[in-house]
Amino acid sequence: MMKITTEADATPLVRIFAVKFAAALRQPSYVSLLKTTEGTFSLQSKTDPQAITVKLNKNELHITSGVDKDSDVVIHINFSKPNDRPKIDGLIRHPLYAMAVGKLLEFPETNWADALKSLWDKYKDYPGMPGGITAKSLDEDRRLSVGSSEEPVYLEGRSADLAEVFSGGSPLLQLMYSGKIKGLYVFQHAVVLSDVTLQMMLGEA
Amino acid sequence: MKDLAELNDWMDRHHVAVVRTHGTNLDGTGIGKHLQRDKFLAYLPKGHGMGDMAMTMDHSGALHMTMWHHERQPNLGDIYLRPDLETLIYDGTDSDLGHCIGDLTNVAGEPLELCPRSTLKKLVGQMAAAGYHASCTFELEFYLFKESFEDLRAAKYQRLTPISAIQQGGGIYNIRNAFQVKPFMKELISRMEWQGIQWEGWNDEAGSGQVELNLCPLPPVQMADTVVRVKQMIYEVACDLGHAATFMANLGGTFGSGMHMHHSLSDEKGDSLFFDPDSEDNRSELMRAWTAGIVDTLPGAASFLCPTVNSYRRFKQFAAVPMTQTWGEDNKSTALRLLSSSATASRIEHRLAAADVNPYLALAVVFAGGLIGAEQNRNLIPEYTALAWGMPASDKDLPTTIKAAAEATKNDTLLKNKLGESLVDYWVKTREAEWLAFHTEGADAASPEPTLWEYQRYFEIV
Repeated sequence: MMKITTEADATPLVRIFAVKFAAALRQPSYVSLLKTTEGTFSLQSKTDPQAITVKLNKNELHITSGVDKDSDVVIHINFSKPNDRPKIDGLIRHPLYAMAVGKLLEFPETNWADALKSLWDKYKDYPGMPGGITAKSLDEDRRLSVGSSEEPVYLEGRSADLAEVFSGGSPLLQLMYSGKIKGLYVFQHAVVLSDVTLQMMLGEA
Repeated sequence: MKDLAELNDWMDRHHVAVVRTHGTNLDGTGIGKHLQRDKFLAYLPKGHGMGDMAMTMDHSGALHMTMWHHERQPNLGDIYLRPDLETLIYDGTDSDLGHCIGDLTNVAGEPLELCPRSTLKKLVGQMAAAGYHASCTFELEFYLFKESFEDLRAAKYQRLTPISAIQQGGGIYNIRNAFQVKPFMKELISRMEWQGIQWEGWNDEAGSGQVELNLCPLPPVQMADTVVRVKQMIYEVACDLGHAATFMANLGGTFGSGMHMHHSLSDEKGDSLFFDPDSEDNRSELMRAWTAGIVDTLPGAASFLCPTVNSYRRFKQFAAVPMTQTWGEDNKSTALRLLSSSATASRIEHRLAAADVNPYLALAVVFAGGLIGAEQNRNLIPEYTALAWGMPASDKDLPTTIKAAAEATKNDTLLKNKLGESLVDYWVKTREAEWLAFHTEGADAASPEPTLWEYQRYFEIV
């Protein structure tokens, strides 16, 4: 059983990655990959001072803030644009480890519909939630409703963006501000859904 | 001033053509409108409407997007700012301006649970019902700089020249340092006196360019009103004289700015309820139980008393900031300093609050603790009779991060019951959002010195 631990008073980025790793560990193939990737690596933001260090051994994954001086590999990335090309320190000294870490950071994809059902099951009684949520994937042309049709929220976007918000990858209103998700809703419901998705993101739920 | 004719007459006599209304949101930010005099009068008694976002914005003006409160309007509607006509004064410097402080209400005119002034009024009401009448005062600490706000903004706060004879370190009660700030303080005192604000004294404080201003005691709501007025006035004097002043809790030196709060309780006749000449230590049973409640709720109260990320940079050993859940007689290193020598001097000095505190909420949370202590007749922990700095870590250490303080508040059910559960729950979320913003909006969280993010967010606003 792989154990995930964090430093005391963990920063938001440490918490976010602890949640990401915990979700990925539900996939057996990811567990195998983690168990064969021992060592220490750091992720450093290209745009601000945020950074984390991940120490891996067979049964434990420990996350702390900052770049540890013992890191074998330091990956400089834009956390807001994960698809941007990263810059890697330590690639020449530890090429195989760097490649393995690269694979670890390709977290398993989440299915937006499953994520929506899971969110609804967990939070439907949270104060201020809408009566139901209808989501439509524009690229799949598929629609899913959870809850009742009373006071529903309607959200639409690409599958990847819907998956990101419903799995707690980003607070809802952040993706609505960026135009990735659009909807029909009262402000209260958007705020409460943002609260819920933020809690999921930080592992505080 | 109660009726319209009387108000009109008062405005005529003082040449008031415009009234600035002044409410306070959770962060302590002043919010209001400048109203043409007739419009101000026409809106009475309900006051004027304003977008509910005014009470649900953070220090940077960003709307609270990840927390909901039942008093927020479902789609960004209005709340009201109901003027308290007892607070109507004329500016004195701006010749046609009047000021009026008010309470935030809903459309029906009912006070909002998220209104700090109404929260304090609620606690004061509970105290009055129990026969307790408080008198209190604040010590305002702030820093003064030669540069203007505009200069400092442009230089990203890299060049701060204290108005002080001693540029490094500081000194305290230093007459030459005081002479340097005297032109500023003369102007400030003159404006305070125009507005009828009574003061006791001011002095050079420990940091270079730091000043402490002591106000005369008043009942709690009037005292908090006076604090928000004087803080606004200090900002305005700084702007008018081309300087900068700040209530940021810490600017990187040893000594941050606090806002020590003194309070005492008396009965309806004005006799001290804290002083008992027949007791061994001159302290009444009420004073002991009241103090016990405040001490016991210190961890939960910390997020209200130290509300910003920057507040916690003030927490340094030997820097005049309490680090522990302690009290002592005339002990300036403990969180509560009790003074019990006579009926007139008997009081509690609460030393935890940072200068960036919201004075309404600060008094409310302290009184909530006192009421809890009195109602439950709590036993006071033993007095701490040594210096309370540089002590080994213990479970009496106060929270030293905004996140830890928010957690302590969240877990304090006694304070929640006393202050109002929905207010406390919402408050905790706002502190968590402040923590999140600090970490994710470009600040270097590991920096031992205040970051540009803190200067830009707090320097001119708190």
